Amino acid sequence: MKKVLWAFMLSLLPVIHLLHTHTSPVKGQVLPPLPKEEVAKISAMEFKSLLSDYYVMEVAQLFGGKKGNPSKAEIIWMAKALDLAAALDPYYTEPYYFAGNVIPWYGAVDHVIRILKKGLKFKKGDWRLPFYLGFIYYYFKKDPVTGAKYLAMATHSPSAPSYLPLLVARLYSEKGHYSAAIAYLEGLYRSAQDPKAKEMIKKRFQALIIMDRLEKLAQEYKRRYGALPKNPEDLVKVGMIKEVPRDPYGGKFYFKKDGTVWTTSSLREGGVPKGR
Amino acid sequence: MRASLALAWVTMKEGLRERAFLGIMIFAFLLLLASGAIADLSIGNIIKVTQDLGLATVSFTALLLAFFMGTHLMAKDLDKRSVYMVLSKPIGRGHYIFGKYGGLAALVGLSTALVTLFMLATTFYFYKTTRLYTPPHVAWAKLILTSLFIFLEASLILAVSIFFSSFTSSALLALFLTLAVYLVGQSTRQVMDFIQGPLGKKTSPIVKGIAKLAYHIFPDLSLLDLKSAAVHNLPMPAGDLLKAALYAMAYILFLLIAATLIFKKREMK
Repeated sequence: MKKVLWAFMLSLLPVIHLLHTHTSPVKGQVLPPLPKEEVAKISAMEFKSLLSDYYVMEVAQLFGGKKGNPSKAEIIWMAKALDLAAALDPYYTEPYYFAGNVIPWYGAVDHVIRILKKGLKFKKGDWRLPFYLGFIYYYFKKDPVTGAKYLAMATHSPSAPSYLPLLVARLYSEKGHYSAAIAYLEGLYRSAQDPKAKEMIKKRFQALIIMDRLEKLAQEYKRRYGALPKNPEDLVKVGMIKEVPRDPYGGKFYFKKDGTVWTTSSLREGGVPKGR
Repeated sequence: MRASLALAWVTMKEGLRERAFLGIMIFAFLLLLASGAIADLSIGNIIKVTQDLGLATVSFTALLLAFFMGTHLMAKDLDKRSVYMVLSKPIGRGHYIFGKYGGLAALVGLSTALVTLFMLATTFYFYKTTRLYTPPHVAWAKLILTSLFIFLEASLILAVSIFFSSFTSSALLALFLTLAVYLVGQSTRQVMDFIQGPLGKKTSPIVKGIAKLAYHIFPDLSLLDLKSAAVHNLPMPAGDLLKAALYAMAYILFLLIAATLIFKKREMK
């Protein structure tokens, strides 16, 4: 009897294994619902900063684990999760860092501004928060006056690095679509904390430099030939560049009708075509 | 006094032999070992996350021990009738309560010290081996101070569990009541903050009254929570720390005396 039981028990193992590997979970909501700030604060009790870490991790995983651009719903979820993380542990830098540098490129700009402004109250003397705010106003909100206010705040902060004033000056002096972003990313690159983030910024920095150059070349092309180039290959044909530069994200650069440059990868890993 | 000390010693040894104690300690060490891997899922300053996980482990272990050992060991005494053996000796019931509490507090203190040491070691290891461009500041002294206050918090919870054990006959009931006090004690200040904020305008006066009452009756455990301040290296005013520590100690003393008074009236069947 004992032997039979043993045999039966062991024969269950392959069954369990097969069922496990051949069953896909019933798809629930992809994005877990987020609690209200007050609810989260009370229910997390003395483990608030741990919950804050958890939300930052969730955002990092969602962002890092995806191919292609995050959807609008995902960006809003990430902004909300980071808002929650900042509320739970207002002295934690990473929620502001992520909110300020990653989210605005995809949307939810006003939400990010709210998060950063709340953070200013806690992270006094940290130059990065006003720096992010300044850039977001300057670049995404097209409001250079408010942008300048925050950038001045950043440069006057006691923790500001010595290169910051020069950088801010360049932000305001350089013409061109991407120049400001390039100057900004340079500052980010220098202040980035971990190798992963540095690598991410470097890649975007390289792509923007190419795009900036292509845009300037397109204007040069127009001066010479009276019309904007249709695609980067036109620049090769007339010998302005030797070959079409490669997108570090694996996409293909193209000219929009107004002569600005964009890429099929939308500056995201995996280079999934636009329209997704 | 000597009787209390002897009882405390016996209680501590008894606690050390409990399987639950061993289980909780192993759990804590595993969690600390895994903290590096867990922190790596995050971005940026992962040393901060490691510290959060470490301090949470210290606090979680101390609380688990306070919850279970406090209610379990005293109920065991009553259940197995070993309490008669003790009380038949020339030991007052007050000495019994204080001795039992002393032993349990020593047990919690010992394990908190152990887990803290291990937490500091793992934090140091990750601090040394993680490559960050701007090395984060770790406030070691503040981490140790935080552990000390975690011990105070667990001691307070322990006193609550002794208090409930002094008049309930079921360990489970005492455990639930202690848990309830902990949950309320953790959130009273937060709830008060919300009520006094813009949200409070919508709250009914009855709810406000209850919240205020709870705020004054239940122990305010948020006073003993230094975790965030330690991890972010925020200032810790000595006066506030001293007052918080005295508050906890006075509360503990009050609970133990109350437990003694109740226990003296209790009829042993």
